[in-house]
Amino acid sequence: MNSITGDQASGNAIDVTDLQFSWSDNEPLTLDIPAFSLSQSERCFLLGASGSGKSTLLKILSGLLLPTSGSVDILNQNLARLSVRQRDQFRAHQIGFIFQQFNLVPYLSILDNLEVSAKLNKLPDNTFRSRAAELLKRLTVDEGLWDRRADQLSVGQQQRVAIARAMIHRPPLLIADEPTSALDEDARDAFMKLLLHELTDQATTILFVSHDRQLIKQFSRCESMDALNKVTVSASAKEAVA
Amino acid sequence: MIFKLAIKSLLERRISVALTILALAISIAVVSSVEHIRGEAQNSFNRTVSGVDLIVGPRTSSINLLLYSIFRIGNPGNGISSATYDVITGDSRVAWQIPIALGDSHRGYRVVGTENTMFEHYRYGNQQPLVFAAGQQFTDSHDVVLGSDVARELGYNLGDEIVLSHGVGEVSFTKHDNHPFVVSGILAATGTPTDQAVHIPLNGLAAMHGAGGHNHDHAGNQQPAAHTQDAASAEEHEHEHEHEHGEVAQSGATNTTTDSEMVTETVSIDVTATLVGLHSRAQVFTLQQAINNYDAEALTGVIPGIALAELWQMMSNVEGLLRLISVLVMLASILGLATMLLASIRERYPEVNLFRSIGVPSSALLLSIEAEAILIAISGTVLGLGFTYLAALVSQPWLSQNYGLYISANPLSGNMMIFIIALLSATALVALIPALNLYRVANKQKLH
Repeated sequence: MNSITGDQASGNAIDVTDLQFSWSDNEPLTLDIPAFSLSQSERCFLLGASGSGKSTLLKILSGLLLPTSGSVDILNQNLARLSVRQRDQFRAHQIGFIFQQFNLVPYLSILDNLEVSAKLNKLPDNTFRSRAAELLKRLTVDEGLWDRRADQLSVGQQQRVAIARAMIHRPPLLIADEPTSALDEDARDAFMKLLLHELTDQATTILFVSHDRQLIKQFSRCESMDALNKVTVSASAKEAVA
Repeated sequence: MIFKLAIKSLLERRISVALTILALAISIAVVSSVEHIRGEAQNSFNRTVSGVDLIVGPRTSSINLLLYSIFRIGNPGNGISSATYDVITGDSRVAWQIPIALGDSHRGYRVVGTENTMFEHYRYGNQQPLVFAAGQQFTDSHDVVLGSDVARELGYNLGDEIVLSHGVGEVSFTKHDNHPFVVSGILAATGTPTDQAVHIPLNGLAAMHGAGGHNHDHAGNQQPAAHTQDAASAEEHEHEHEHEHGEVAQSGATNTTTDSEMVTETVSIDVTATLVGLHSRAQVFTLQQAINNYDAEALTGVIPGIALAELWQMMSNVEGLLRLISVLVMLASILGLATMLLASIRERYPEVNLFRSIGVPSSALLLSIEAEAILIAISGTVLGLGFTYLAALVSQPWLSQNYGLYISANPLSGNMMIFIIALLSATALVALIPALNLYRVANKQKLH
């Protein structure tokens, strides 16, 4: 595992303090989160609808955006102290991402998609190949499909391959943003089983964002954006959550 | 990895990419063929004649005289009289003379009335003499020496009889009423208009014209022979007719009335031009002046190198214009390329989002756009040069036969290399417009 956690700090995977964010100076705040933390290997369900600021929060947690004020420590690294290039590297090495859709470049093959992540992490070729083969076999993706274009797979298959893409370099932190919203119930259950039990080891910290309350019971902890974020969400967004 | 992604991304947009490559290829083809023809024409012209000190012809522009006497381009004007020819021969400064009498053709090839001095003194390229691939020079007024292309294309061998009946192109395998010529020699290939020439002695030409005049009275008799010609040579007959009757005037009035067999020794026929070699090159200007001021006949004396320089000078404006057009065409297609890429940026938002999320730096995304642009430019260049190569290959025989231009098919010259480098640099520069656009989008993080 290529975690850079240092024991001298809190030991938390995520540490957010007094986070405020607005897109520009003359726009109202999008996020106002006094405190949010996640200890290492914790698995947290974050309930939030679109418009609740969750996408913005995830971008800040992964270093794609910097907070307007407050501090964000990921794996004991204050992201604001890193340059853009360093944040890109940090994200590539330490964080695995799974989205609701478009997890794979449609015109690349499955293996090419995995290779992009592997190359960013400078995995040796043979390590990449054995890891990819192992992951894809566990995902029960037929070997004949590995060189197929990603957009030839079913949505369920694509989401499962997305786990492999996110986990190929075994990042200590996995962030999943509505990964099951496009899936039917069976595919969703299969996906959750793979994500939580087969493809990640128990040390992996998982932040799972969804509006699907049925999934809450699979997590040891549940938070909601409405509770975390002091910025009032628009009425329509609240309705969507309910 | 960036190039691999770029290639796959281009294949994903293959139709617009293919059109962009085609547009680029066409403009490269235009540019490279203009450049190629220009360079090769200059090269071909420059190597056609060397060792000739002065070209003497009737009063005309020096470029015109050069073009028709050496390159057989255009129609010659009047000739110079045999009296004047003899005066030049008698000049103490003159070492040798190669007379050139044009006006007839044989199955599409120019008939050149000349003397053996042609094979002894004419030089081309780097002072190379004409070499016989087979046979020898004229020993008789009925001899004909063929350029290598003529012999090869028409399938003539030593000893074959050829009928050059006053411009009517026809091979006579049977004994015929006309003045038959016998192939006495075939020249080795030179890559100059000499390869396209049918050389006959001046007295043979005079005899032919005598015989030709005779034949005209019996035009009816010629019809059966004409029937045996294939359609192509019948067409040539029509074509040739425009050229005949003219430049080579028969000066000996008695010749037309005598039997053609009798006309053998006397050379009293006008020549179109004469190529003069001097004992000492230093005398070329005084002789040129003397010729230009010759009282008895209006003459022009031309120093080949100077006339060629004048020709290039005259062409340089046209060349400049062609180059300007080329560069503008080029710029237009590079802008087309940038437009195509710019239009694709919005389609790329989802993948940009994905790439950024998994840690791909924005600079790599910028480079991938540049890589795509360069790949398109290289493909367009290769395809365009391929077009030019094919066009040159296809037009080689036509250019050599009609314009005495011998070009190579390979369009890669030093100039072209510079041009390609400039093109790739310009592409990289212009592609910064879409590339920076994508970079900005990738950094902004507010995609949707």
